[in-house]
Amino acid sequence: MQPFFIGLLWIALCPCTVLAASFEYLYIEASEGNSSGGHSAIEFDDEVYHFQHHDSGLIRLLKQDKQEFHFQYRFLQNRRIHSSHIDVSNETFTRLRDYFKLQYLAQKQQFNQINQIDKDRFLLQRLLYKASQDETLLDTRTAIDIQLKGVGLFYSQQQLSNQAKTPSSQSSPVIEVLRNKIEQRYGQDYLSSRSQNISGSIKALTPTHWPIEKPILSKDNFPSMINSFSDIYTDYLTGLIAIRVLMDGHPLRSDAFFVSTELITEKERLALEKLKDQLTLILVTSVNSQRPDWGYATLINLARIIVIDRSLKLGKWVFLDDFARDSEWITTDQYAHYTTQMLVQINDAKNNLTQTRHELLNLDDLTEASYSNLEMAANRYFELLKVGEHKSIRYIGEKALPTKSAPLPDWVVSELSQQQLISALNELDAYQNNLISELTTHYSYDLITRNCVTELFRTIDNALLKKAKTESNQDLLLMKKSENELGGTISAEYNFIPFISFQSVQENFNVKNNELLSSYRDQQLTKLYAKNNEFMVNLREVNTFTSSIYTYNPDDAFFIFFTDDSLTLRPFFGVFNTAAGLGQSLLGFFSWPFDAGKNLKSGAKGILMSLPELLFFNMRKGSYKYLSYHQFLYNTE
Amino acid sequence: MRLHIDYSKPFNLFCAFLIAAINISGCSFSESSESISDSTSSIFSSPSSLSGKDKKYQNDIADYTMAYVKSSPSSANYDSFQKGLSDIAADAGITDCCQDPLTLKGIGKGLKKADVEGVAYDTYKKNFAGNDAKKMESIQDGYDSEE
Repeated sequence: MQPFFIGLLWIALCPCTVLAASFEYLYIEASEGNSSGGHSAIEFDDEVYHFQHHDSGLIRLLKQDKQEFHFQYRFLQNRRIHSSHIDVSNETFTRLRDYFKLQYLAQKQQFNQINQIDKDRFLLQRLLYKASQDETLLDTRTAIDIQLKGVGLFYSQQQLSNQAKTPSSQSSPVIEVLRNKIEQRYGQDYLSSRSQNISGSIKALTPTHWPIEKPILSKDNFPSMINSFSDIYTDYLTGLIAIRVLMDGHPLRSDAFFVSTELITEKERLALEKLKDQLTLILVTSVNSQRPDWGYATLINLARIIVIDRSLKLGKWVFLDDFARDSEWITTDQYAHYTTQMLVQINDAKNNLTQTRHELLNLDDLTEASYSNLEMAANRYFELLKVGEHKSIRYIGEKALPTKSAPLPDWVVSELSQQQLISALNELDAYQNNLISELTTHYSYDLITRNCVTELFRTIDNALLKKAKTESNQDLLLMKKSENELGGTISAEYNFIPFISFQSVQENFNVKNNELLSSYRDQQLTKLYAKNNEFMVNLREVNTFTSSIYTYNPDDAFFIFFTDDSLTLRPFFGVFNTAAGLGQSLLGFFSWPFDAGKNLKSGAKGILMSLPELLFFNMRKGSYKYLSYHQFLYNTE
Repeated sequence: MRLHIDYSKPFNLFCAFLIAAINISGCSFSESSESISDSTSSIFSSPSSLSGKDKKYQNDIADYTMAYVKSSPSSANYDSFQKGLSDIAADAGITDCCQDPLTLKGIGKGLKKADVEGVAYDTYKKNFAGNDAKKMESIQDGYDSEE
């Protein structure tokens, strides 16, 4: 019994905090592409936080799902990740995680204001142009274009322009039934009366007051959420269009949906009938809702009810097209060299669709969210099937709710005087200047003093200091808190290089253990070694010409040798890779008039990325554009 | 697959410094990465994780509510709050977030996370639920479930 009591006494007297939780510090190895000098991130349970430098010259905190982050870096970018498991108390874990989360949400809100301001400016200038017909008032530098979400499911741009004058000649029987239900519930004149009210509200709409007060931002506070002039205007207009669709019985556009070859089973039919009733109820309620964006919800539910009705009539699955207007397309030339990977993706998408259908039947009710999952799975699969028909496909850009947008029509506009519009634009300019100036002060990127590593440590410091602002000596307090809660202190000023900061973490924090998480190529090599002669595998896989794992990805600058698994030969291989870069640059010099300098730029990047290899530092790993997420999940299980 | 290595190689430190010094792109982020990291992309879809998606959705709503409550006075215009809710719900494939119990429970959790209590809590609860008793009950469930 004596050791037991000694143990109890030790726990009672020990000044250290009891460690019951942990987080991961991640160091991502260097490679060409994003964050080529290496990258750092912090992982709390299933969420990864990391800072990234954007084109605007500002650095932002991002949050990603753990698996998606690892897939992106370890598979698509083929980079190893070094993970340090850091033990902390539950209290410290919660404090750090919540602080990162709040910082992320605050920044999201701050940067969202830039977008809102741009949209407000676009709208104000457009109204001013309409009022004055003075083209000099239109700012051609504004790249933004206001779109109405969901409207493109029913109207093309041309139809929208004409719609104010002529109603649709065709009428959808499904919409007529729904309109009757709405009129039964709210009265015969409800829709026309609501339409008039909205038109009146649009005419009376005044621009948002953007308060000029300093500071707009601070490290601990969120800027107020603003429902901006353009947001309110687009919500009203979308609602007005939704009512017009209902009143005219306007049919879905033919390119807004597709009829699949998949037959509906009897169980699925029953589930779909229940869902149709559920969506009808949501629709009837949402039409009379006070929520600002009820118009978009109404358009989506209308469209879904129509395709579900068509599915039931045809006995085949019919789905809305859920790809966004700005989806990323890939051409046949782009995927021609990746036939095997595309076939794997098609197979994955097919399995995903089958399993999703199967899982839906096990649910008590087919909900909106689960139907959205099915819609996405079907869109993905049938889009990928176009590879077999040698067509360009939309590779990324699906939305859980279809967004099919359409440009802003001039059905009804605010009745503002030129003076009011000019005054609103001036106020907007003043607010924007202050906002940009403050964003630059807080988030301006610098390779040495404010990068993805330094900001990670600064955020940790701020989280630890948050509850003790009253103390006068902040540095001393931080050191004390950091030592108590993490095991030691790491200065952001001297830890701006990912690899060095990783060493600092080893030396200063309570690191329980380290793991090296393999890249895609590592995993494939291990599989080959298990089945073949190691020497022969190495001979074949060490270069890009004979490798069975890697197919040249045009996103990579041209190179010859992989240098991630051969330390001693690295400088030797680096010479060849540098020469390859020089060769590509020379070729690029002559091909400049024909490829707009693409080869020259790629060659120069190749030289830059190969030079460190002469000093034993690995850069050239190769990246993989079309790998399967399912394969990643399977391999990491 | 997990490998174990030794990190104490001074030569690597030197090389890391060199590469960082010549590196001009730093922690850059391309637009294509942004689109891939868009979590609603079906590249990441997986049928076996529907319950996980529900949990993630509820946590996102809770975090957003907490952020809103901390940033805005209780008398603030709720339209902007509802718009933010709708955006999160849209990413989860939901149009009817105002009636959805999962969303309302998430709001309750967020109020608890933000340490809102007493009269302030009742005010938020009534406003967010639009005085609807059933919705207030769902918010309360979420509030009580958060430790």
